[in-house]
Amino acid sequence: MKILSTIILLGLTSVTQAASCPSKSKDASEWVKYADSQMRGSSSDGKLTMDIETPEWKRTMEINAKVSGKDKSIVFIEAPAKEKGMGTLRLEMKMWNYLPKLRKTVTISPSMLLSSWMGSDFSNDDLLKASSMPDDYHHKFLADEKMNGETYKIVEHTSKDNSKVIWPKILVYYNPKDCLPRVQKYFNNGGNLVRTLTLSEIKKMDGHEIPTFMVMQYENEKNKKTTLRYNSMDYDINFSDKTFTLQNLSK
Amino acid sequence: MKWFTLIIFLVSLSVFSDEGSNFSYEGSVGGQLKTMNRRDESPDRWPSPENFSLVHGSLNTKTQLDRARIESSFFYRRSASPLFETNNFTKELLVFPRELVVRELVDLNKNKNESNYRSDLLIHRLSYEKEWDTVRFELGRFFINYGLGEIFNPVNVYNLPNGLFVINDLSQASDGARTTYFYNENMDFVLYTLGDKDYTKVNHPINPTAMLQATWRYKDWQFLATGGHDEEREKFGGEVSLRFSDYLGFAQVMYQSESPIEQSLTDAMFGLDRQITEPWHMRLEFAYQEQPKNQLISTRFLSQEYTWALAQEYELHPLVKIKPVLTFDPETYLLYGIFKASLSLTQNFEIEAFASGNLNSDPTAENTRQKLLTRDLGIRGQYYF
Repeated sequence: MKILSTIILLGLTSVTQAASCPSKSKDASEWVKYADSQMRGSSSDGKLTMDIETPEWKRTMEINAKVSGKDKSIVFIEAPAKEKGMGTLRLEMKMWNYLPKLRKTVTISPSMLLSSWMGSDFSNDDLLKASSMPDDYHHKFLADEKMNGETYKIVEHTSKDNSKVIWPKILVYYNPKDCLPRVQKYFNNGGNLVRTLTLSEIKKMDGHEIPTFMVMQYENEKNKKTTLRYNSMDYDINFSDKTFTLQNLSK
Repeated sequence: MKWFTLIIFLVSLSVFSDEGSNFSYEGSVGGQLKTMNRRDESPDRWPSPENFSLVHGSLNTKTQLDRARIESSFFYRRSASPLFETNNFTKELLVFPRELVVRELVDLNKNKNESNYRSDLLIHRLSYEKEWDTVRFELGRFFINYGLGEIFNPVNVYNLPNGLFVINDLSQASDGARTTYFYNENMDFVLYTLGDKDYTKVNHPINPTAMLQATWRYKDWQFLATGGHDEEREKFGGEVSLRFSDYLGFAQVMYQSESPIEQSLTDAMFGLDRQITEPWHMRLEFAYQEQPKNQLISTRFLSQEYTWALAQEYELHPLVKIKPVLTFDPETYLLYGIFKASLSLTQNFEIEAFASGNLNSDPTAENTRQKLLTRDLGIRGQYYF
């Protein structure tokens, strides 16, 4: 589910751990690396709650997500009963789902990356591509912006020529006090804003300062949103060799 | 019953001897109502079912130990239709799948056929599973599901494809042992040693199944080969799949040698799977299933030799999905459609409306199985806990 965190975050890249908030730096890449190191670490194991909400209904899922580096992640749904035990394994760009009630492992087609993850505003692509997005984007500062009385550093992420990403441009609003993102805006090829991720409730978890509450909302579905809350996060874990395998997915 | 007692003993032993054990349960209850009818071509011979109702429920338990687990599933299904009152064989086609345990060593089923209903009470799953670093061993009654086919999946000889099942998450079980060896993260082998499949249930001697399966993943390819002895015949086949561009392509072939009661049979299929847009998923399957000669009604899964199938799923809303499926027989021009629309009323309760029937047919060209296809209209509900 690092997956998810990555998803949500910006998909910055490197797995290296920056020492402190590079608030004086004029290099946008350093900000990106720092945020990534805080939110991602070299590996992580998180318990999350996802809510999909409209004014009429709300659906809640409890999720356990493990991520190692940029290429490996495994996610299991722990609640509700209807989906309990369902799992998703990602190894680089390959992905499998596990259906526990049938005891069946299903290979997922590459285009399934487009589909919504469990009906939420996050897609499988968010999960899969998140780790590579940092490498696939150029980063540069735009002019600072004020929002709700606070000044934010704006970093524009534009996709590199040969990168295979869905979002050609992402604008990330960093709070200069902690160098962590507060808003991420995703634009399509036409330059139109498609969806916005809002990050808040900065807390320290296992030594990492991270936003623990996120809201994803599409511009064309203003009455619907998906929230994600980090209940716990453990970082820099030495997972066993078996953690990110089909054997473990079908356990 | 000795086998059952042994499993209960193992459960008890595990639960009470291992402080690290963890017991959990879950299940579902559901039901469906539908009307069914078919052309009045020969009502005495093939009467129309008219209406059909079904309630079902399951309770599953799981005891997780350190490196082992014990799982069970108790299943009840009660089907009612006026056609059960008759002795006409077409009533056998009402309940699908009729048999929920297909390779049986121990009779843990209670079936009852009375006036206008049939009921099945059974232990649908009861297995002990132990796992070591590279080996997983499972003993008892369990589900065997693999293969990418949704409408037709000949590479899996143990189970019907569940793309057309009305009850969600239903599977056919087998008795025996499954040993999986995980050679590395890209290669594994499975040995199945099971009881025999017996459609007739007339106490014919057990003729065991022993099949070996190997899976190898290389880059975007996956190869699966399987072969061995099953149903008193040799079976060999495999599946190859490839992720390319936005597609998942897959092909299967399965050969079954001649058996004491049936000719040799060959099945093959080819499929393509793609997510067209975020809410729209599409799948094409082209199937060939050889039909036995000299049988009035084939017992094979499909009602024709050649099938072209188009299955789609569209998410209208996070709570609403529609699933239209079309199957076409290029020989008789039979076009059969299935339409489902599901609505999640709560997190664990969903209802589904469904309809199916011939959209185009030529009665002069149809085979007997095709003549027996019904037009159905119904509603289903299922609650998970």
